Parts: sequence; structure tokens; C-alpha cells
Amino acid sequence: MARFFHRLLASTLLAITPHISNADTSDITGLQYGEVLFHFFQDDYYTSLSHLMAAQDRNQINEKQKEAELLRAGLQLSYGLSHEADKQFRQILDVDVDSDTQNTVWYYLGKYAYQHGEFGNAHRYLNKLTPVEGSIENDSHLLLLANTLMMRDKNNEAANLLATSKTSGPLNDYLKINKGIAQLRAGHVKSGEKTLQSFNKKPIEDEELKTLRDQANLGLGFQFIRQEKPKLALTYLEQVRLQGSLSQQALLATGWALAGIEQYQKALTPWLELGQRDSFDTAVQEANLAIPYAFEKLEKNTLAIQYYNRAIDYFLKEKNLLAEAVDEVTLGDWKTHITVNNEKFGNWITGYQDFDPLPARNYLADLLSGHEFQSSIGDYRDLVFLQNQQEKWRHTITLFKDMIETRKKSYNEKAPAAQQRLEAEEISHLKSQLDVVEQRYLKIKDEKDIFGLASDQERQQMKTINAIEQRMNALPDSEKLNKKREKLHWLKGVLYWQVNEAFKQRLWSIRKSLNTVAAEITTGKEQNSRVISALSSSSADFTIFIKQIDSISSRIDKMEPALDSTLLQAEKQLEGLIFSQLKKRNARLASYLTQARYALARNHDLLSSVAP
Amino acid sequence: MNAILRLIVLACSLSALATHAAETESFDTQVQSLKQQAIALNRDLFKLEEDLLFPSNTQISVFVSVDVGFYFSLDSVALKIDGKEVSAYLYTDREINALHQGGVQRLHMGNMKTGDHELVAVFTGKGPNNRQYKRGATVTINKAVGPKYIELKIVDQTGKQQPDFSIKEW
Repeated sequence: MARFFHRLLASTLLAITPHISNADTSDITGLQYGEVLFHFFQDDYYTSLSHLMAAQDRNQINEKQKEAELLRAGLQLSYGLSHEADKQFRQILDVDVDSDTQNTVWYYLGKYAYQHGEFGNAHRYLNKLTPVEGSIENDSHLLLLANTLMMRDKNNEAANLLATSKTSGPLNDYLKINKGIAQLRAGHVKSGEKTLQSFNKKPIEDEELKTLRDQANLGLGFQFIRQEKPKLALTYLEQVRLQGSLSQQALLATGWALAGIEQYQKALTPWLELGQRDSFDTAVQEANLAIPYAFEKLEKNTLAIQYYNRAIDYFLKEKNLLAEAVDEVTLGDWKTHITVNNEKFGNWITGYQDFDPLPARNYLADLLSGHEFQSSIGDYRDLVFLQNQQEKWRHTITLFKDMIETRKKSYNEKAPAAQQRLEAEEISHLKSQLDVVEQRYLKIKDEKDIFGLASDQERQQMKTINAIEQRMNALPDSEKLNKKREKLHWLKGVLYWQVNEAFKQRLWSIRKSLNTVAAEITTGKEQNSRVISALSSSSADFTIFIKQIDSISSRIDKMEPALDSTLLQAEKQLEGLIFSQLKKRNARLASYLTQARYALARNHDLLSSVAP
Repeated sequence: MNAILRLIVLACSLSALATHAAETESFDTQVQSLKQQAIALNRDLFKLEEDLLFPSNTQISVFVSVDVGFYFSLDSVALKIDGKEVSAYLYTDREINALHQGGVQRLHMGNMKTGDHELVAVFTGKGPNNRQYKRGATVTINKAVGPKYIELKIVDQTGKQQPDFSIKEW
């Protein structure tokens, strides 16, 4: 049931704060929100909450602020920060919110109060909810509301409330079984029986529900035994599964019910079955005492003496094992083992295997399933996790400090040279040079000075032609010379034509190059101003970073003594709970032992008095 | 006399219960206060780390998201920027479930100069009919001044019954 509620809690939260697909948002809200959910869906509430708060601080969840606030409250509650969650939820309710959001908030508050045993408050919060008729939320609300009444012995009200359910949803069976229990507790035995009888005939697949049915039948069995209605008790005890987790209590109770109608021979069957079981369950211990009791009632005193002796040996052995368990708990190695999965799962108890490192776990079944112990162990694991985090933070802080020092050193080495180059205004000189070139280009373009863009070779060729032409002009005319002059004139024409043909292409190419250079100078100027700004802000940034690092560092230091003392307190609390449970078990064993010894003496007396 | 004794015992028990409740409450408050401080510290360190290691002017973040994921089951993603591998990530079942439920993973955070850069993502996993599947997606991104956000998206193409891998710039 707890798992179901956890799932329901998460699904309710997400129904109200749905996954924001990227299409929903025009900025990066979807990515940041999704990143928070990525950790949330892995039950890593610590990271999820830290990242959500960081994103909110940086205004990175602009488009879904309301959902983010609700998610934050839900995460706080899931991480055990109920006080903060309570504040956060109330702030959400203070502003004008829709009914879905209101319902979610009240459900959260109600569920939390219920888990912490504040049943009156839980009932008050849950009563403010107005879920949709026939929905799973409505059924879970009804179930929780009824539980708050049953926990305060208002069974009649709870039964009436559960009778209003018209659902056929997945919680239908839970609602029915709770209704039956509430009816019985309210004294409406016939209607309670009727409700549970219909439930007993129904085929069930769900293991959790099967266990719940076993619990109801076992509870009824015990109730009728107490009311001295053993026959009625038997009809319910027979319904408990023999392979289920409650089979041992059911076998014990069946024996007592049979003994109640003086069917001691029959009572021996379940008790002997129990007596053979290698279990630390109290039912097995009690069966060891019940077996010789049945033989005694059947006037088989020799067998009774034999089994009482066996029971005494068994109880003494159990007492020794219990003493060993107490020693192991005192040694305290289990504390390290019990937090081994912390990195993966935080404080969540993932199953009974989590308690494997507890040396006395076999004697603690009742304690382990209780809210108080689970909550204590959760707190303990959280605190150990925080202690490990402190180590990591310190390591990170040292790295950051080194990084700042290195950057500062590098800045001090490089900044003066960079400053000098900036002060030399190299980029401005380049710009002036570009302006000169640009003017020259425009002049060539306007004057169509084709040789202004000619290659060095072409210019050299034209120079050579002109020089030859001048020398030829200085010589007296002759036919041979005139032919050479014509050839030279033709060569000059060809060269002019070539240069003229290439002029447009060259103009375009130079224009392109000038534009590229101009763009690069602009980029260079921007870079320069960024460097100028970086140079001037860097020293200020160093100071800011160092201040932040120092502040975080002192917060870590300040937290340390409180964390150490709270952790010690958590350890003691946990040990206290374990020792108190072990004491109870010890007292019970001592009582069984006394009873067995007394009964043994009584049987010896009986035998000696009838002996010839 | 017996009645008075019983009353005294009852009063003592009630007072002990009240003290226990107060102690428990105070211990709970203590634990919550420490957790609250830890969350705030973690948040501030997370922000400081980003500011210090990935200044906003040069920052690039690459995210992975999965929409539906019916035709592709993701095993790993390798990310290259300008030919250099910056991330090779192998997913756990918990992470895959988180992605399928709508979570978005920050795969890489780094620094990048302004200008054009080539980004290549290679996804491996199981495709339709449970066959080994390896697909790449490439994009040239232009990094300006300010943080750059990239999303690697795995989306089902119902029409083609194939997964689609795309890269979105934010």
C-alpha cells in the first residue's frame, strides 16, 4: 500500500505539473525543467531539488513558474523537508490557483499529516479536496480519508464514507476491504462479514491485496477468539494463505481457536507444524509452549513433559541468540553497512533486504515495518549522506580555490602585456591603414586606372615596353626600325587589352578582400572591447568568486558540529528503538520460560501423584 | 490510595510521552534544518561551479531527450565536437526510465569559442524488432556570445515505424 501511495503521489504531482515538452516553451524552460525531472524520476530528490532551485534563481524556468513552485513543494515533501513544503504549499494556496492545483496541495498536506500520525489534521486537509467523481484520485482520497477516521476509532463514519464509493477502478478492492474492516470494528458484524465474505470468494492477482485480505481475515480470527467465538474465528482463519507472510500467526491462531472448542488433538496439527519451523517469529515461540499445553490437556503428561523440556531448551537457546544480537548491535558495525546504498538511493528503503546488515533483524520484524523505525533509519541514512557530501564539498572548494589562484597568477602574468598591446591600439592602426587602401581603391575605380590594379609583372612589362619605345623614338627612322616599332606597338596593345580585361575581376576581388578585412577589423575591435572588459572585470570576478567560496566554506564549517551531534542523536535513537524491541522480545522469552518451567513442575507433580 | 497512585503513574506517563514527543519534534526539526542547509549549499556550489568552469559567454550544454521511445531503446550516446569526443555515456535502466517518463539528461557541459562548430552524436541501442541499432546525427552550430543549448532528440516516427534522431539548437 505504501508503494502504491508513493506511486500515486508522484503521478498526482505530475498530473498537475506535467512534463513540459520542448514544444510547450519558447525558451529553455523545457530543458531545465526536464533536467530536474530526470533526477526526480530516479528518486534523487536531493539533486532534483538543488537543480530546480538553481534554475529558479537563474530565471531559467520562466514559462512554467507555477508548476515549478508546485514541483518544488512536492520535492521538499519527498525529501522530508515537511516544514518548508508546508510553507511552500501555503504560499501556492495564497495566490489565485485553479482547483486542480488546490486539490493536489490539499492531498499532499493530508497525506503528509497522515503519515506523521496527525490524523485530525489529515482529515481536515483531505476534506477540503473536491476530486472528480469516479477518478483514481477520488478513490485514493476516499481511502485516505476513511483511514484518518479509522485511526481515530470513528469506524462507523469510515464505513459510511466508504459505502459511498461507486468505483470500479484499481482501488475498488482496497475500498471494499477497508469498508469491511470498518464495519466490523464499528460493531456491524453481520454487514462486515458480508462485505469480507464476498471479498474472500473473489480471485485476486495482486500480491499486496492478497496480503491485505490475509490481514483482514487474521484480524477477524483474533477478534472472534477474544470474543470467545472460536468456531467463527476458524471460518476466517482458514482463509489465510498458508504460504503468505501471515501464515505463522494464522497457524498459531487456528490452534487456539481449536483449543477454544476443546479440539486439542486437532490444535496440535498447526502447532506442531509451527514448532518445526526454523523461524524467529513470536508465533513459532508461542507454538513451542502451546504444543505441550495441548498434550497436557489431552492428559498425555509424559509427552507434555518431553515437549516442555524441549521448549525450555529452545527458549534458552533463543535467549542466548538474543544476547548475541544485543552484543552485535552494541558493536555498531551495522551502521556502516546500512548506509552502503546511500549514493544510489538516498534514504529510501528499497526493501526488507536493506535491513540485512542489522544483526538482530530476525527479532525486529514488527519494528522494521513501523513508520517510526523506517523514518529513523531514513533520517540516519540522510545524515550519513550529508556527512559524505561535506567531504565532497570540501574537496570541491579546495579545487575551486586552486583554480582561482592559478587563474589569478596567469592573469597577473599575461594581463600587463595584453593591456600594453591594447593600449598600443593596434586595431585602430589597422583601421587607418584600411581606410588609406580603401581611398586608393576608390580612386582607381573612379579613374578607371587599370594599371593601378595590374600585377607587378604586368607593370614591369609595360615599363619595359615604354622604355624601349622611348629609345626607339630617339633613333632615326628606318624600315627595319619601323617594323620593330609596329611590333612593339602591337605588344603594348596586347598588354593593355589583357590588363583592361582583368580590371573588373580585380576590382571585385579587391572589394571582397577589403570587405573581409573590414569585417575582421570589426570582430577584432569587438574582441578588443571584450578583452578590455574581461581584463577590468577579471580582478573583480576573482574577488567575487573568492568571497563566494569563503562564504560556502564557512557555511560548511558551521554545519559540521550540528551535523555530527544530530547524527549521534540519530544513532542513539535508532539503537534505542532496536534495544527496546529486543528487550520486549527478551521479556516475552523470559515469560515463556517461566511458564514452561512452572508447567513442567506441574506435570511432574501430576505424574508422581498418579504413580503407583 | 491506589487510585491516587494510579493517577500519579498516569500523569508521569503522560508527561514522559509529551517530553518524548517534544524531543522527537525537535530532532525532526534539527534534521530538516540540516537538510535544508545542505540543499542550499549544494545549489550554491552547483551555481558556483557553472560560473567558474563554464562562464556564460563560452558555455555550451548538450541535453538528451526521448519522446515515446517505442521504436528505439537507448543504450549509449557518444558526442563529438569538432572531431573530439567530449562524452560517451552508457545509460542505466533507471536513467532510461527517467528519460521515457519525460526527464531530460544534461549529457555535456563545456566551453566553446564563438564561430562555427561541428557536432556529431552517435546513438546506439536496440531498434525495431529488437535489432542492434546505431545511428548518427550531425549539425554545424554557430556559437555566438552567450550560452548555447543543444538538444539531442530521439523521437518515434510512427509512419515509418522507425526512430528519428535530430539535433535542435536553442
